[in-house]
Amino acid sequence: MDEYILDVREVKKNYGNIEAVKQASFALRANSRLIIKGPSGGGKTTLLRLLAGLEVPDEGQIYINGCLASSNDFTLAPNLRKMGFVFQSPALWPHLTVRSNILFGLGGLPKEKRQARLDELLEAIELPDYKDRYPDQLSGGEARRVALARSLAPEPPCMLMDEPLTSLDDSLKEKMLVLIGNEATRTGSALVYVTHDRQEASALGGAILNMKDGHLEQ
Amino acid sequence: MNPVKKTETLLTGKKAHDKVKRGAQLLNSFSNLLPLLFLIVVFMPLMVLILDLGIQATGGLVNWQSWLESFYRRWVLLRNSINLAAGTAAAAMFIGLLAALRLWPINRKPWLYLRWLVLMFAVISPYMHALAWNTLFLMFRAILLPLGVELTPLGGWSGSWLVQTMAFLPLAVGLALLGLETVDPLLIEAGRMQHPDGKVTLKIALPLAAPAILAGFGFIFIFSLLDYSIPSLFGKNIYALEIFAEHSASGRAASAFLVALPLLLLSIVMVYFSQAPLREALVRPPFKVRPWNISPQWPVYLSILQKVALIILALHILVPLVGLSAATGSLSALGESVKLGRREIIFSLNVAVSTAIVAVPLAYPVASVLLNTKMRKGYWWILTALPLAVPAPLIGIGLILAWNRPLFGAIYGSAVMPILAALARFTPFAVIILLAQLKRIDPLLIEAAKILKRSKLSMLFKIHLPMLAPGMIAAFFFTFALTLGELGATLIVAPPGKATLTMRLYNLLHYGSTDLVAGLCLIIVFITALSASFVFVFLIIRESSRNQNNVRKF
Repeated sequence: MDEYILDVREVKKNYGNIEAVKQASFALRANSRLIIKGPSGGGKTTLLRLLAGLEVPDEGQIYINGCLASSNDFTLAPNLRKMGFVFQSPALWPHLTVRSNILFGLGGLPKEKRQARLDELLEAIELPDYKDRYPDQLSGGEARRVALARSLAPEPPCMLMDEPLTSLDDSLKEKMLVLIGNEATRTGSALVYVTHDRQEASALGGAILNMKDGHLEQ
Repeated sequence: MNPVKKTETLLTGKKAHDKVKRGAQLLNSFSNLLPLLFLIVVFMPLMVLILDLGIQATGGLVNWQSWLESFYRRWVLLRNSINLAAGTAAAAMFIGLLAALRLWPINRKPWLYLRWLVLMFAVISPYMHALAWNTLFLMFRAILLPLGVELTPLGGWSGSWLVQTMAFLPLAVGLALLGLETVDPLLIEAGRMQHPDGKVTLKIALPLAAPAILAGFGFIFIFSLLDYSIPSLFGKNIYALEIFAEHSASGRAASAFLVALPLLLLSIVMVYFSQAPLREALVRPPFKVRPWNISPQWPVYLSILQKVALIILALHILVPLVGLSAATGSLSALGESVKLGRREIIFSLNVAVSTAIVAVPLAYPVASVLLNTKMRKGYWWILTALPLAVPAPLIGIGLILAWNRPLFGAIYGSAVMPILAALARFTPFAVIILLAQLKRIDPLLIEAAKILKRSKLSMLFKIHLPMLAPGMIAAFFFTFALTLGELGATLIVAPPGKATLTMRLYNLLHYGSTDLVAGLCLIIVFITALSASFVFVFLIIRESSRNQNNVRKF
């Protein structure tokens, strides 16, 4: 059990009468990838939010690195789970510059290392001169790339991505997929990636699960 | 059908159609004029005063030299008033923000709605707090005296600051909560992924809510600056009272207006800078998801501070109830108060209900303009918020100047005057509440009705008004409650032989028996609480039934 970074056991989540997630179970080791596909309203985002600790499951448990992180009466705070999360919308903090947004999660590192990581990521997302811009000075696609860099910056052991590349053009999408893949490989992170796009799913590789009406199936 | 007959029928149909069209055009032009009516009612007192000053100045009747000399004397007063207002606003917003931080993560119904109940206590007039705190303070003093501890009497600047802070605390909590509610929950969640909740609050939530919170500070500063009741009860003179004093002494509106000018300009500047951030917070439709889906884990120091703030808030609610009940003494004394104040109660209720009835339809066209107008929306916003900067006595003096003429004798000597004064002061609140409700209505529902080509009147009664009902009820209640506690303008314009409950109270506070005053205060608190409870229960039931099927989905 301990070798799994993420272990999801029969997790269930209801909103009123609607069963958003029904008995979801899977486990992920370090350096592995899981792609979750499926129609809108199928429960994919809810599942990611449960993994991130932003929702409490009604039933089942979630273990992170072998320790209980979520059950119906216990939730480990999201920041203690050490996960990266790219939301469906960029959710950049409007009062912070691109630099501050990306560095927000790098509090513990020395200044030089933080600066180096910032430069490296800005280079990778092809926005090297955007450090001092505010989110309202970015286009939709640029904001998405900054959001991606923000979640990659702390090199989390597990990354959750909820349709992170929607609205990017094909060439940029391809480059960002390479970046995500490389970062996951380099840091040994487990990756849970939600998408509608077959191309993205096949480019990333890894196991593919389908989620429909709250059911997670092969 | 016979072709001639057919043509006649068509012509008759066309005539009927033209008639309807003309009616609609008439209705259109009438509805376009309605916002002007709001401007006339709200700004007439100020306009008349400006006109009068202009006439007096061109006639050489204004003694500028004397005004300048008296201004130097009054400068100290203005400085003291500013200090008191700034101290009050800072303390109230600080405690209010801490309490709001505790109330913000509440997501469970009905507490989600009941949080806003705190605003109900904002309509309890400051002088009632003064009386309640004073009574409790005297009680403690009597208890502690045998133990050798002698408390200094509550009064002076410190007493004024304490009581004013407590009086404006519910408003501060409400405004801070409003500011926090403007923060997109997703931004909080993004922060929670990387840092503990305390840091997320300090680094993300507070900076994002800061404009609205600072605007809240601005408005509490203005309300404190313009309220003279507490300092005057505690033996301290402030600038706002000078307007009233000048008018009483000289009997000249222009002199009183000149005295009011520095205060008016200061308030206008504050309103100008405060209204923009607050208007965004007030009219923003609620987010579809709530922040803090999982309860936040605050750092210990923040959690303790929040609890202290909640205790202070609870004191704010308990002190008037306990203090006033203690001062009243018994139920029979309360009954006696009702008996003695019967005429004033009836008069006050008449004025408050009439004001609320007129204020809501008067406010609706302006709210519609603010919702739909693309051009000059900023000007309309400033025009709506500006009346909040006008000192209450000035409104009273302006109304007297406007209506004290032989032609308007019937109005001048009647209950219409306090109603006009309350309308000028409180209709802007009704506008803001209605606009907030209008913003919540899905524009698609209106579009759908337009496609069905219902008439404007039918649209109003069948579509707009039912959807607007919660806002109308809330606006009605707020205007009603604020009018019930109004003093500054009513004191000047009340018709001879008639007095509102607040006027009776104010006079008794200076000269009368405490138990009678406290009993009358309790009656106002009771009426306000009762009407607010009805409104809140209605709103909660309505909101709950509406949200029954509105399940959060991702």
